[in-house]
Amino acid sequence: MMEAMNNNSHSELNTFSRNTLFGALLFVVFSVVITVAVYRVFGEPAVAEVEAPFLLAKERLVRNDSSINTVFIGSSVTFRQIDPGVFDAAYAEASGAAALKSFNLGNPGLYPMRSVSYLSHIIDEPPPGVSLVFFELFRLDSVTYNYKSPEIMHLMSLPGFSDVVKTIRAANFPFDYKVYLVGQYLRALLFKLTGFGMLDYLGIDRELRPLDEERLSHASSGYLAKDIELMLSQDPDNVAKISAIGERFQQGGDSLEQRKRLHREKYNNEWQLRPSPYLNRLKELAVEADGKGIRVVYLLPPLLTNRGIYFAYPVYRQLPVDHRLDLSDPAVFPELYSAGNLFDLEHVNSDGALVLSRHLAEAYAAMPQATAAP
Amino acid sequence: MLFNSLEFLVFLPTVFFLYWFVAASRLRLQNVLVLAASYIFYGWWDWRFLGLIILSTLVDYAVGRGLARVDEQLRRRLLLSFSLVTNLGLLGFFKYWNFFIDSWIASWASLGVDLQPGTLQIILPVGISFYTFQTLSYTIDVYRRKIEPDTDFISFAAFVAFFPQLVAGPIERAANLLPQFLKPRRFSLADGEEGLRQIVWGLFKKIVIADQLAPHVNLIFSTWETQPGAVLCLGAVFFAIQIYCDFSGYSDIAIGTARLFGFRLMTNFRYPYFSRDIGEFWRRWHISLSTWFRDYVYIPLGGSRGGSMKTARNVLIVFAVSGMWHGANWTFIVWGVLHACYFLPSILRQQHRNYLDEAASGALWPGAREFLNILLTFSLVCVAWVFFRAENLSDATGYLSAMLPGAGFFGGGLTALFVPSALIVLLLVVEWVSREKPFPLSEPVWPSWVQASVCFVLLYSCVITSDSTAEFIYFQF
Repeated sequence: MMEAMNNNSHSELNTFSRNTLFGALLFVVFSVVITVAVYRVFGEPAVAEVEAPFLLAKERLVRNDSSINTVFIGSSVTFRQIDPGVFDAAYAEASGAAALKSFNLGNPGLYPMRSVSYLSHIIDEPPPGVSLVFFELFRLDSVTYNYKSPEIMHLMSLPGFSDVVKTIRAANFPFDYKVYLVGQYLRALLFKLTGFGMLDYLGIDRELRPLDEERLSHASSGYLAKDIELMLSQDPDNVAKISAIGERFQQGGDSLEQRKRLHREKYNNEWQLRPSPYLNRLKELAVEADGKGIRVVYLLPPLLTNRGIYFAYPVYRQLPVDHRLDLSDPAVFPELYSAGNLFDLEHVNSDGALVLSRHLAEAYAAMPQATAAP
Repeated sequence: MLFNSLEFLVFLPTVFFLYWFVAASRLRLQNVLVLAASYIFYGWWDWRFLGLIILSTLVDYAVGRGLARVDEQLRRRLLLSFSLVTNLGLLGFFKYWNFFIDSWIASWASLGVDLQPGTLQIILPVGISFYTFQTLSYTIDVYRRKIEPDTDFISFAAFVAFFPQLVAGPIERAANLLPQFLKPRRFSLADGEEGLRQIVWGLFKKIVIADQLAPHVNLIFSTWETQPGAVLCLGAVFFAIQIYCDFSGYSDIAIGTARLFGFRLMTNFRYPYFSRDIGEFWRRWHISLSTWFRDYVYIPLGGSRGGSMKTARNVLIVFAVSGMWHGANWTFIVWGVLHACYFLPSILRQQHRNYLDEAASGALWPGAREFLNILLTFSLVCVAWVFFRAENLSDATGYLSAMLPGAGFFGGGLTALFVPSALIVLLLVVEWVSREKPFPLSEPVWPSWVQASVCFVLLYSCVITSDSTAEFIYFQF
């Protein structure tokens, strides 16, 4: 009797497990089909809707001021260390013409695959006066914490995912890191394809955070060094976070020497120079921009981490010479690797920003000036 | 770990597989597995607080064993007191320490004395109020000789930490849940399917209704000074529905999950917003807590046996303590006292058990009188919810005053609330027609492909509206 009951229970368990598994698979298929259909029918939001509200707020400022002819696009590296006022004055001094009025469109967390979409958006719909765009080459990051963000959802179409995977394959990363990166982007793709968070994404209505508003009020030209923000910020969490980063750097010991060595040695490495969708897109955008009278200059910044160098330096080497600038050589720019000019191991402080902005202006003034440039 | 998280999506099938396929028909191994899974589930949030659950478990297990060996009344009382002091001491420290210190400072400040004792930055361990009450019910019932003490530590520890209901209930009674850990469990297809349907319904209520209402509620309550009266009225209704869907959604997922493992948990909600008076509301809202207070506080205080004054006192105490249980803030206490005031007239006139059947039983629509009673009860409940949701008492009273009709009552902002309002109407219609079933998807009579399609649509709506970082409101209690 007991055995019969057990057998019966076991067969019910098997039926239940089989049905549930089948139902779950069917549900995934159902979700993907409906989701893809919805995206096909309704389309996806444009870059100008999904990008970080802080960046879009800055872009609005540029669009509303036609006297701005130069913008810097990049991550916190750009946001924290290029001072447009210093850059403009130094360029005027170096070139003998006060032709540039620039604005910093740097946005913390704007990593390569996203930033290239943003660059494309700026070239497709350029702000009225803009004819020179500096674009930061940065490390290819994972999307660990951000896979549900609208920016990453926007990136994660099937072709977008394929581009990311090809770009990862072409990068000079160790194999396990490549697998890790692909895994992270795959999760983001599945998240999007199964429809997670689709309603919010399609009806996107993002608001500026109070911290961004505070930053905007302090960054009239879009630039804000960390040490300046530390002095001005009224947000205790932000102050604590920035202070902790600064203190960690102060206790860092020999890391700066390692970073310097890394940047010196990159010129001697046998880099595998492989084309990738990312690189190809940068090249295409430079040509497209030229056609519109806009010059794009790709910038290799100082202080990149080892993964940053493995990714960005080979890309830099394959870009056209008249569209690239290297500010990362510790032998040429030793001040940018001097502890007194740094806030942390990846960002210079306001003194360092002064030096970097001047060097950038001088290096740009020394470049062969294409007809497109202002 | 949250029920509405990707981690739980992996956790649940894994535990299910191990439980039924690896530990199958080995009761002790199944209980060990449930215990390990429960500690992982809880430790996912913060493993350091596992120590509190383990301490409560050890104390109550030892006290239960002690009570079994001791007949002398004084020693039995001492053992019970030890359990009460330990459990309520932990709860009091983690949940109420800062509240009492702040209130103490404020009361001296009102007399012009400036005290500066340091308050501690105490983190509230998730679910402490729930598992403390659950384990206390065991000790009290053993003390009262209503149940035999458990002699198997693993099954007792699994009862205290049972992951489906560990952090937000239902607060189970030892008499119901503990015996289920002690006898072999068989899987039944009907239970499994019913459990899955209840999980789907709970997820739908939580993700599609509660989480979608949350931003509107947050906005309205944080800007109530500038909102027109009609928006504030809707804000109170939205919060009533949000907290209901959030909390009852959690209970549905908990009950459904437990059912997948062969356990039956008690019903925690029975369509409370269709109640015709406050007495009925409390027989339908958070049933596991209200019956806990009835059995372990109200009746021991004398219940309604000592005349009107004593009854009123007992009702006031129970509701005030119930408010306090929800959080260390005067707003919760006022919420409880307000419900006591609603409830007192009917209990004093012995009319608090007027409605023991379903509303409009056997009919599609309620009669006019029944409908008005439902509407009045819901309105009273909504007024009380304003205290529950507000940051402080002055915000709550300000909000309620601003709700009153006057010039500009129908100011702007109503159109933005159309979609969430429509969602609420849809929910209420579905619940109304299902009010005689435990939950709307329970034991469907439709063909299996219709059942599957309904579940797919509900789940897909969860997926597309999901924000998997949203926590359940009742975790904070």
